[in-house]
Amino acid sequence: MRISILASLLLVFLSAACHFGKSSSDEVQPEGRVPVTITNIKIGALNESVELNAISQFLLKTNVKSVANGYLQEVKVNLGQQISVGDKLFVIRSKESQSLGNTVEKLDSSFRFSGKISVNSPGNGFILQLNYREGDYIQDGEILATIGDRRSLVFLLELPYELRSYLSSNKTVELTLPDGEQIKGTVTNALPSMDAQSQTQSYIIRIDNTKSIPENLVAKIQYIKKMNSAAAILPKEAILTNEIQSQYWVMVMSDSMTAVKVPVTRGIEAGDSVEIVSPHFTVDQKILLTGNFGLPDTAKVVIEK
Amino acid sequence: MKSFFTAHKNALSVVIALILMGGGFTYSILQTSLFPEITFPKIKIIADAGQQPVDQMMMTVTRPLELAIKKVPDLKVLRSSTSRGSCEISAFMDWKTDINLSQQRIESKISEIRASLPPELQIAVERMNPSILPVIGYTLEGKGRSPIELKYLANFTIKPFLSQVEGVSEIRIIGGKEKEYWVELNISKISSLGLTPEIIKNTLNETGFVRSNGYLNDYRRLYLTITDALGRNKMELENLVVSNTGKRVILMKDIATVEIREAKEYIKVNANGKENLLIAVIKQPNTNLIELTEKMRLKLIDLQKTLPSDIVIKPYYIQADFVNESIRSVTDSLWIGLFLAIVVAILFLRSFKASATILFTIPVTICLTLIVLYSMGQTLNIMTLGAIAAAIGLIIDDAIVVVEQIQRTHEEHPYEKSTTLVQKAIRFLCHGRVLFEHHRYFSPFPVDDRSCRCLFQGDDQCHDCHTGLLVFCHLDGTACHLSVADFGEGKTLQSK
Repeated sequence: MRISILASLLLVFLSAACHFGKSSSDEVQPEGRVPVTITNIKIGALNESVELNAISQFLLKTNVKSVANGYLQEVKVNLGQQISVGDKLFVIRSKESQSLGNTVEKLDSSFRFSGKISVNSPGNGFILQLNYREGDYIQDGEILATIGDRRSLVFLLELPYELRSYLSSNKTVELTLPDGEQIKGTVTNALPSMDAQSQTQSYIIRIDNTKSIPENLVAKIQYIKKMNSAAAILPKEAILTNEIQSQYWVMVMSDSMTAVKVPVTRGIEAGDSVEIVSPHFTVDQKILLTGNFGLPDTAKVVIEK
Repeated sequence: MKSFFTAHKNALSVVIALILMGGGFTYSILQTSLFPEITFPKIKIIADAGQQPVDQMMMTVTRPLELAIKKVPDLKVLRSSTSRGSCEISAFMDWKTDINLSQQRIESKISEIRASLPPELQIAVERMNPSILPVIGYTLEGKGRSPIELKYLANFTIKPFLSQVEGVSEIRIIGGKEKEYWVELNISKISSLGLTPEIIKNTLNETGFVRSNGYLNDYRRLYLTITDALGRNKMELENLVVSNTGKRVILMKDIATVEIREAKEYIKVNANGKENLLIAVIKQPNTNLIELTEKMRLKLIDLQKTLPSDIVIKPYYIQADFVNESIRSVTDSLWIGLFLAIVVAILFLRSFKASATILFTIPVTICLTLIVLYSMGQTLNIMTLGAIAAAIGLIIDDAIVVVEQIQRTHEEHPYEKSTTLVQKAIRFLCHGRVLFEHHRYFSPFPVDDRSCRCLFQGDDQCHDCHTGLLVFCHLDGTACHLSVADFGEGKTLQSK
């Protein structure tokens, strides 16, 4: 009886011990190794840029002027209307005609005196401004309307003076409109005066004028300061630094389970991507992405899938 | 008729056993510390005014404070030291005054003149108590690690962990460096853009906040919203918008360079000859020093498992060691004295009975002393231990003399009854010599050498002590006052 109890107790202990042993061997992670994830160097274009504003503007604005004293009889256009050269814009009736009426015509019809003078458009574009209504009295030389020349619509880039040296690498720029649309533009000449307050100079960006773009639209330009088309890029997470950010390093796998510290020099930094200038890493070298913080120079790690 | 002692010998044995057990028990529960829990009649006023120059500090802060505190009744001595941006005033009060009342009086006098002091001034008024001094000190070393890194590690890893130990009132980190972001303005650029440092300061003040916007209800879901304008890294600080004129967005990096540097520290902390950190453990007033030290030691072993292997934490000062040493010296003197007394009794009196008397008398006396100490609310500290050590010497000395005298009288009058015999012996002894000996001082036991270097140097102050202890002692043969003063975190902290 007693022996059987002892035996059963022993059995219970043994099974418990077996269970315990199994659970400890289930641990996948080896003792003292830090779980990490890895990444590789990617070769790609990376640039350091400044975001600048460019405002759309008509360089050429033509004024349509009255050619005689008289009354504005007809206004044939509306504000914003697109017009071409020679389009009839206004009809003016001279004040003589207004006061005499048809008397001259009655006297002698060979005078062909109608008293009406029509004003035609001097160019292509849009009516930007209309100053008078029908029936208004106007004098000789008064501005009746302003026409913005569509072909002269450009973007004016407000460029801080100290960024002038990077102009050569920014001959063609991408303008991002507020709706997200991107259009290409070419930086041409500069206007000769600076803005006194913001110390910027206006540069003319010519664009393809097939689109109708309103005046005074603010577009954004990524003005490139530095560019490397074949940079060795690493995510920012992979790079470690000391407390005062005077030294930078990455942890590189030297074999399947050891990571060593390699000091690096950074180049361009844009968003989450950082260019590694030196040393030269090959694309198949494994570099620690996470789990790298606080690791000693030679650390035992285990790569997580 | 039997005598009282023989008639009640069983009851008396029980009483003796009870006293012995009681003494043993009280010894185990008695608080142990270096100094008695005494609040000294000294109040310290520390004023901090940033980076104000010394002369200005003297005129605008120290003088007015001194004049105000001088009006407090029972003030004995007022001593102050002014340095760049800070001033420390020690007000020594009369021993008889209520120190809490004096503190309140000083505080109220300071608040009366608060309006005339510089607005950014911070004033702390504290009472002096041995518990505000560290009981354990550690050095923190990390080879190749910057002072900033070590301070961060100490503040965010070590401090919270060690604070978990029961009875710890504060873990103080001394030394190391803070991290600072430096924005260096380019004067020519800011002047040409029409900016002033004031504008930039305002811009910086207006950013860097987290504010609650309350709740937001959307699709029957409730969201708690915040505005988070905190700058999280150097890049965000560099890209801070200083001004936006429409034509141009001026960022911080356009007009200034941003750098991360070590903050300037006016206190230099060296440990083991290098710039390292010190960790000081301050205990709560009613905590047992020995227990706390042991718990701290175990906690430190646990901590070292989680720290990087190159971080070394070494103790440089353990107050419990001195206390343990004092206790050991007392026990040593007890055992040696007891042993010698018995040897003397056996050798010269050739009587086992006489030596057995000594063997019982001394432990019973000491156990009674411990019980009385406990009931009086005293602790085991260098004061009480010193007294016990001195007393043990006296007891043993006297015990031998008395026993020897009784033995001699007994040999002279072998048929005398014991009651008259003892009376005769003692009467003779009293004529013969005065038992009491004066001036048994603290020389038989060791004291904490560094903190009490000047214990016996009269009234001289000691500026040299490492925990900033100022110990001075009046030795006039009858009374011994020990007062301890704190010099704060001193200007030149040094360890061994």
